[in-house]
Amino acid sequence: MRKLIAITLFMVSLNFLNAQQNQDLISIDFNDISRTDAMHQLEEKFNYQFYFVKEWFSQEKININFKNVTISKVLNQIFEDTNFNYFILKNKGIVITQNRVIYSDLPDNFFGNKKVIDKNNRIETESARPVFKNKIVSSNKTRTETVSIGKENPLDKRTKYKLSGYIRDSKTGMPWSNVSIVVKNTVLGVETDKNGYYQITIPRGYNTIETSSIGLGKTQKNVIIYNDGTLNINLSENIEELDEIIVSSKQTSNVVDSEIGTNEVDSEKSKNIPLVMGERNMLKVATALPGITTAGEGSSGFNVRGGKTDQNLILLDNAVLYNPAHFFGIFQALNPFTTKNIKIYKGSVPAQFGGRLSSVFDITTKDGSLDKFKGEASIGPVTGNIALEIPIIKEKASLVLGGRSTYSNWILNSLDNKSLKNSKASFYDLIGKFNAKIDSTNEVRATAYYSNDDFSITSDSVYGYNNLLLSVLWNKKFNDKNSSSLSISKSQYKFNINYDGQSNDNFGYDYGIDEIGAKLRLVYLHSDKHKFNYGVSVKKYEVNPGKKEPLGENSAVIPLNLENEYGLESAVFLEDGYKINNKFLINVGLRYSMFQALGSSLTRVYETGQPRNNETVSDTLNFGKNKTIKNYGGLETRLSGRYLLNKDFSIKLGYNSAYQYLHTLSNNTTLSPIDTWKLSDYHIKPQKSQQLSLGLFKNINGNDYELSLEGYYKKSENVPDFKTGAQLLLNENVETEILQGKGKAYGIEFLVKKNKGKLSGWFAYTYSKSLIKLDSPFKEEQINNGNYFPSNYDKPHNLNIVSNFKVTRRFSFSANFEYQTGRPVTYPIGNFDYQGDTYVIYSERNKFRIPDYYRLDLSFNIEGNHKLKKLGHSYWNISVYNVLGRNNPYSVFFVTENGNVKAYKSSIFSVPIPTISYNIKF
Amino acid sequence: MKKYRKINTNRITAYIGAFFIALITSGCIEEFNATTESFESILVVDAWITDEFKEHHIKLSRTYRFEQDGATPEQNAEVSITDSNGNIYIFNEVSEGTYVSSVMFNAKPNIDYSLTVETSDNSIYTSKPERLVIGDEIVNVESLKIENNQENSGVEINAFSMINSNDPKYYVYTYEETYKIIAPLWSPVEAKVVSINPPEVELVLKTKQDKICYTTNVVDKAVAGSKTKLNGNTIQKTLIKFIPKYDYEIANRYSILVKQHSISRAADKFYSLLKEFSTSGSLFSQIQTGFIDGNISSQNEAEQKVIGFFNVSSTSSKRIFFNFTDLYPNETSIDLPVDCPTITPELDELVELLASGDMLYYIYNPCLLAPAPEYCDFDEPQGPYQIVPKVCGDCTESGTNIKPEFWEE
Repeated sequence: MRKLIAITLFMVSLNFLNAQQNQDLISIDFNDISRTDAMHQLEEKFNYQFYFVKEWFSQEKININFKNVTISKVLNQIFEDTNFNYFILKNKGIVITQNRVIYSDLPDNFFGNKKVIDKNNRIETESARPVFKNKIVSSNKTRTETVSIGKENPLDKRTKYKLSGYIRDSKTGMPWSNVSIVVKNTVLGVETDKNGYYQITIPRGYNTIETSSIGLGKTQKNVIIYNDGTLNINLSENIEELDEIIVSSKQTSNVVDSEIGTNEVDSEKSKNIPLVMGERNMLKVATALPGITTAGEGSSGFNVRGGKTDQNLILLDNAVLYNPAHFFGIFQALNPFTTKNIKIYKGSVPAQFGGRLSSVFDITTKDGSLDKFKGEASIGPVTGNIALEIPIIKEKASLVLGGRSTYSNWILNSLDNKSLKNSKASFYDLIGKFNAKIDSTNEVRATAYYSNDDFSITSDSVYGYNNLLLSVLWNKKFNDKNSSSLSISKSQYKFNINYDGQSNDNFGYDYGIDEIGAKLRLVYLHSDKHKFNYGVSVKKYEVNPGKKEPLGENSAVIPLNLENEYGLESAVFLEDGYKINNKFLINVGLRYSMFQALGSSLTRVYETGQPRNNETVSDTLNFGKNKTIKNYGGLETRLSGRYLLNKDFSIKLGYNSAYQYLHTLSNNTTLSPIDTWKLSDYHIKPQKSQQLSLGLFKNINGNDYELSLEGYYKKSENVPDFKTGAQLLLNENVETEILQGKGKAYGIEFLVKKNKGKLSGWFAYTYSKSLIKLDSPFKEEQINNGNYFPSNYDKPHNLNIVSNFKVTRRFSFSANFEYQTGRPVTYPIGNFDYQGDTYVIYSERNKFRIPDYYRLDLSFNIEGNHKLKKLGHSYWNISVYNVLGRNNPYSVFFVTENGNVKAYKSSIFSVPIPTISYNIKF
Repeated sequence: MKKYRKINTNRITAYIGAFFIALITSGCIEEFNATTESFESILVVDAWITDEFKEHHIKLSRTYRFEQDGATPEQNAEVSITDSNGNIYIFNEVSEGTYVSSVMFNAKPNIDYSLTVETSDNSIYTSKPERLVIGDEIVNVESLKIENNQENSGVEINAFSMINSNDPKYYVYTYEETYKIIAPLWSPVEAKVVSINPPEVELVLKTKQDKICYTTNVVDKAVAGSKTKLNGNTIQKTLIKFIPKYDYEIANRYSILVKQHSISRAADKFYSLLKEFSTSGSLFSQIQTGFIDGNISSQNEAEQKVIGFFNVSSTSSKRIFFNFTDLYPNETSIDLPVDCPTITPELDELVELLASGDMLYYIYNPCLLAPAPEYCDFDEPQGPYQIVPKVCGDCTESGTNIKPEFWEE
């Protein structure tokens, strides 16, 4: 586009012939051909040379016959009722322009304004003054879309034109009423009627039109108006995109959209939040939102609304990311430079997602720039990171590449200290994303991701884990109403432990889970009232639960290889966004999910009415390869609705039910890299949950302040937990250690956000409870006498303050504070002597709590200057993590040493951690 | 974080490295003084009867605070075992917290036994009815010579038991070991004190056999040795005991009786959890701890806790013998269990030492013979006899001179 403008302007400065001088007479018949073909015929037959942009023209057909007419007349007729203008050059060259007229002379009043009032028709006019687009473009830094309206007519002396059109939702096509349309820096403004129609008179030339409304937020468009015209605005508002944190432009959607309990974390804006070790961590930001907690520092799991850490579906470009953390969660495994945003659904989950009970973290990688090579890099104390955007085919295809790594191994090796020298701690992750627009209706995206961690905690063991993700997405638009997206994805998660100690029990242990799946999702925009969204998905799992092999020749370890588990998870879903009226919007989703546990497998059967243990085995079943061991399935309901009490105040209700067919086995109270995932099988039933949520959403002063109050009640069934002292790793009959019980969680979440001004940020407080009940007729399958007790992640009070203060444009200061109740713990309550030894007696499970957790972080951002010509844009970040030096215990444990019981506590950061990092964007 | 503070270097890399290591190593794990958060005094019942015909013992105590030194015995309780044939075995308190059956009895198959304890505060605890757990006969007991470095060389005693995986069996082991003691500085005669003043002694032939004795150790605490499954998981090898090569126990002839007690799966779980909970501790392998339920519960209220497992187990045992020379044919064993210094006091002092009973006659003083051996030091007193500590010349000091019935040479 720009190039064209440059050419046209160049031509403006030339002295060329007046169009009228071209007097060749033309006879030609255009029968049912497109305008471009018509121009080609003129080129062929009469040696004209047309200059135009092919994409401007539709395939609309024309039927016109000409006999002995001038080229001007031909062109006038061809382009009648279009926005196109033309200019005839001396050598039979014809330049086609959109909207604008190419002037052969500068207007008389180019260097000064003369107002002429035409009193007769009372329309204020000005001498037609060309609108020079380049001026506008160069002063336009905000990248607002610019549109040209109307066909410029040099004879038109009016200074104001009528602009009219409809404002609709781009997804649903539904009209939006009461959207205000304002011409920036003027007092001009109107609102859309109930059909979404508006009409406004605006000054000729360049205007900035701003639309704003509840639910649509503010959007801007630069409008260059040449004549009366229409501008239909399809607001690209995603109905699921509720509540975008930090980014202020879409804030009002939290009041208007029907979904409840959703959040979004934007990568670019999360840089203002204090960093740990010089890295932006969007997942950490997520945990500062109400309803989402972590088990503490150094644990990579999230607990969403009282759910277990395995109940979160973490998707990176549609592929499941099993472990989103490096180094026990101190670093996120997502490259902050290539990540666009994270959408979090914790209340109402769209029907297209399934397989986990508590939440969906939908992480999207940036699309690469189609026109410019760009990059970003950072250097921190522990990690380095670089990301590049490389256009491959201009305007069509682009590639994003990102890589992060620690240099800790290099540092460790260069140390003199012997014990440090043998330590190992390293990680890296690589990501590549390809995006291509094949044509106006087809789009392809492909992502490849790999992350790897290696570390040794003790001198004799090395742990390693890695994620591999591949996904391809193909979006196709069939017509204005129908579109589809097909995705194929593969995810793999593996870990291994190598134990190489002094004695003869050295071993290597491997675990792996592999899934491959496809999902077809179709969107049908039925009408203004209904928007349908339906599809199918299927996924195949293969789990290698563990292989233990002797390491070295002297090892006496007996090799053990547990049989692989296979499973097939499939689902069909249908969802309708139904707008009952302007105030009442509901989203009705249904999803039927199925799971088949597949062989081959040797499965023990236990006597009915008896606890599952080695003594009650009644039979062993042998299932052949791909034979169904057990079928599970059920209907999941996803309902949400919004009622607007007034334009910035709404009430929402949601009901969500879900099934989950794979579970982590963990003795740990936190998500650790060596947690194994287990599929539902003959004995292990799928987890099931139902959640009811209710919320009030209010915006004050546009979207400057945002308030929300949400409450939820959640019931779950078959939540796996474990017997006291369960052995989970490499247990061939792990069902004898697993207990499945009922869960109950409820809470209230309060959030106030300030989105604008020098001081921005949010305050979030959650009160919640998460309880579990493991009851059975058999004592050995009961925990705490079969009563409800607090789950490992029950943290009633959780408070977060995230704030950013912009001192100047270049300096900003941010602080965040986090407080949460210490998590429940099973505490030793005394000693006892038994058969000559001293032992520790523990309380009932989770009867006590570790001390409360709190932490304050500060950071200071110094941006490089904002000169446009500068090669890159850079900023420094200085942050101090845990300013108060709070020694937040991560866990407590007790060991009997020589008959004495010793208590230990572990903490990850017990001193303030200052870091400095340098980031550059080019 | 301790670790990171210790490193005192100005190099920035060291700082970063140390910082990083502080994160990843156990440097962040520190001991703290745990005070008992909420102490509950809970009854601890250690009750174990077997199919051996004997007086059975039951021990009762209470849990105690970390700050306290040891358990408080539970006194004045009424303890009894009732069987399904209507027999009641009463246990009487013989010492603080230890209750012994008033009669000798043995557990018999297919009879339910239940334990009742009524404490002095009128709380009643009962066990679930338990039956004699019948296991297979002990397969074998073997000694295994371990050749390692000087310190770690010795003999392993291993027990082999059937643990058929289809009908799993659970065992715990106790043992009784007996070893032969040969008095190293033994003399067939002894010196009798006739008169202290004037000092006068008389040599007479010993009347009791005190050259060869036997010592027995009874270990009735379940052994905690490592277990290895063999032979396609049908046989379990359990390490019963390791005896260092130069331990006096095996200097002459050694015998061990390994008792294999069959216990129920629930009892096995109970014991293994007890053990695990007292040794757990890695950042990654934290075990889900909790209160360990046994098979005893409170009759008064279900919530009242009690610790312990009432075991009724069958016992199978096997005894083995070996000599030091069986294992180490060309080597000599340690010959002195204790230090055996010899002295030759003047007569008046000799009389006093013999009279005290601490020393024994060994031989005539060789330094008084002509020619005197070179090692004799005539600055020291040179009395008539060489005497030794009693333990070196009289084996009854460390064992019994009665040869056990089972003893085989």
